[in-house]
Amino acid sequence: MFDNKEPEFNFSKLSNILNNIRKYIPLPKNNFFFLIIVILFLIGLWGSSGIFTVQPGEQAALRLFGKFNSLAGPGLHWFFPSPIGDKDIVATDTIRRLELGFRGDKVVPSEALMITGDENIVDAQLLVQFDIKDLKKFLYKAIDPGEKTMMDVAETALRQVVGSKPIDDVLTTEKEAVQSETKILMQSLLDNYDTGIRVREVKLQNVQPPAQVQDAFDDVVRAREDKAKIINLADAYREDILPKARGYAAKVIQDAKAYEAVRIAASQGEADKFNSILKEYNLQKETTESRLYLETIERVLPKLKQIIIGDPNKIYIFNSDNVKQVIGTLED
Amino acid sequence: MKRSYTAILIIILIIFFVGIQSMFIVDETNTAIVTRFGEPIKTSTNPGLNFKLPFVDQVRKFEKRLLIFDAPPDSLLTSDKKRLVIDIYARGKIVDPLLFFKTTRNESLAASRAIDIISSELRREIASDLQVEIIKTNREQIMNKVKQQAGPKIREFGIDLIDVRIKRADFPEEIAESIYGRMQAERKRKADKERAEAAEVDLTVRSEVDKDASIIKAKADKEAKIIIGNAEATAIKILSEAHGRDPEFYRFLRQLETYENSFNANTTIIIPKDSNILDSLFGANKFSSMPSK
Repeated sequence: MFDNKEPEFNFSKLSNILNNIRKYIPLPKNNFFFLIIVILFLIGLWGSSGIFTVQPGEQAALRLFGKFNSLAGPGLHWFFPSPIGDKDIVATDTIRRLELGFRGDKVVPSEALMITGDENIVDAQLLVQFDIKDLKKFLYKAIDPGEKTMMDVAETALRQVVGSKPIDDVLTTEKEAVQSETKILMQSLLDNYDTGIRVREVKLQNVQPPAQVQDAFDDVVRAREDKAKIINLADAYREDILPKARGYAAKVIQDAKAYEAVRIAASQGEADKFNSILKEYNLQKETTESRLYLETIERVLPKLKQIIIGDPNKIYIFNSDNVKQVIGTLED
Repeated sequence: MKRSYTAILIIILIIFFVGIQSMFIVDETNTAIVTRFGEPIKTSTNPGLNFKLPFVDQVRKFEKRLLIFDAPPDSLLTSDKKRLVIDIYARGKIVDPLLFFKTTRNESLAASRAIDIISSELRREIASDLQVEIIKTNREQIMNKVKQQAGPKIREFGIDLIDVRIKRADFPEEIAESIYGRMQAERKRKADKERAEAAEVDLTVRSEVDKDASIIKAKADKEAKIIIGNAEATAIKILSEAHGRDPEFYRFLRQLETYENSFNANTTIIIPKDSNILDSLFGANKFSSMPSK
């Protein structure tokens, strides 16, 4: 600001201007005093430009002649304006994002493709969230810590961690481990470089096989699913067949037991019946025998279709369709 | 009046100019050295307002923050004669500004020299390692070795080498296709294995189930037969005990039963006419109505 006031050098011209102004405004007659007032006014103007506000979530780092002076939190402040003082107001509470392997919706293959521990290639995209825990270090200790250094560190850490694990682990079980190990490694590098940055979260957005081999990987997944399905069906078969077999077994045994009971009871009954009949028979053998015989014949004979009484020395031939007709007899 | 004003003003300006010339600001992010007629006379590492002789002393400022040495990716040969494209970066710090000024003069020149040194150390180091070590196990160690080798050489420029890192170790583009081919073959092997295992489980479980079911059924059949056999035995025992008391009478009764059971409406019986069964059964006039003589 002082430099801009160089035109004061042409003093006679200035006093002419001042004299002109005096015609309208009553200014002090003494030009020297007037000059001092003008200078004081300019100093005041310069000084007032040192007023600044720090918004909530921001911090201001103040330097006096280039040397760090103090930090200022949210609120209205004054500090020496340039060129004596310098200030950097930074949103320290804001969570910053770093996208590795993608930008928005677009994939960046050169960042995303990396070697795994078993010399495969995997496509991994990482989102890092970080904030500034030490503004002084952030501003004065590293060059471009939030951009270039973060990028270098994130890429190095992720690739080192993924490079230590086989692809199947990276794709499935070890995802969490990749995240936490990457986070730890990143933080240690950032601390080593005195960046004042704190890594809040490291998230794998997308971990997948490269597009060129995606089909082959999908086929393995399909094979696994088929396997699970087949195992399920086999289990279902077991659950269907075994109970039926047990049911069959129970039925066969119960049937046998039923038969046993019936058979024994029946024979018992028959035995009892025989015993009773025998008892009576023993009392009157001859008559009982005849009576039983005749009773049976009486019951049987009326049922018969034909009774032929013939000569025992003849052979009788019947037509099987019409048994009523005797076709002939052979006299011997 | 006018002349004295002008004189005062000129004097003020001269004082001001000389004052400006005898002061210099060192920022938090800088170190500075003061040279007199090109010859360095002192270093000022403390930030803030510093002083020098006006006009004769010159101030050179250097970066005090960590310097970024970013090497371009380089295709290197490993000890097992495989190629890897390795991208490294390093961080260094000017710790001896005077030495730095004497040897390199500016940061970008220093960076390119440092990168040359680190790259050649890296090439030598990679040439003695197996590819798999670089990818998987040894990365940290390799970087430490490179740092130890390159560190003293870079220190000669007044720069402390803080860290060397392998940012990327990639397969060269031209072999990427064969890597993908290998990955596909590996996946196919895995898929085939899954399918074979599925078939194994399927056959194993089903045949086991069939076996178990057959055993269960066979055991039940066996048990049933034993039960039936025992039942028969018991029945025979009961009956023979009873019938044994008069076998003749039993046979007679059984015969009658047989007649009753085996004669029905379709039966034709032929009885010899002189059979005494008939004599005892029917009267003589009954016989004339019979169809046969």
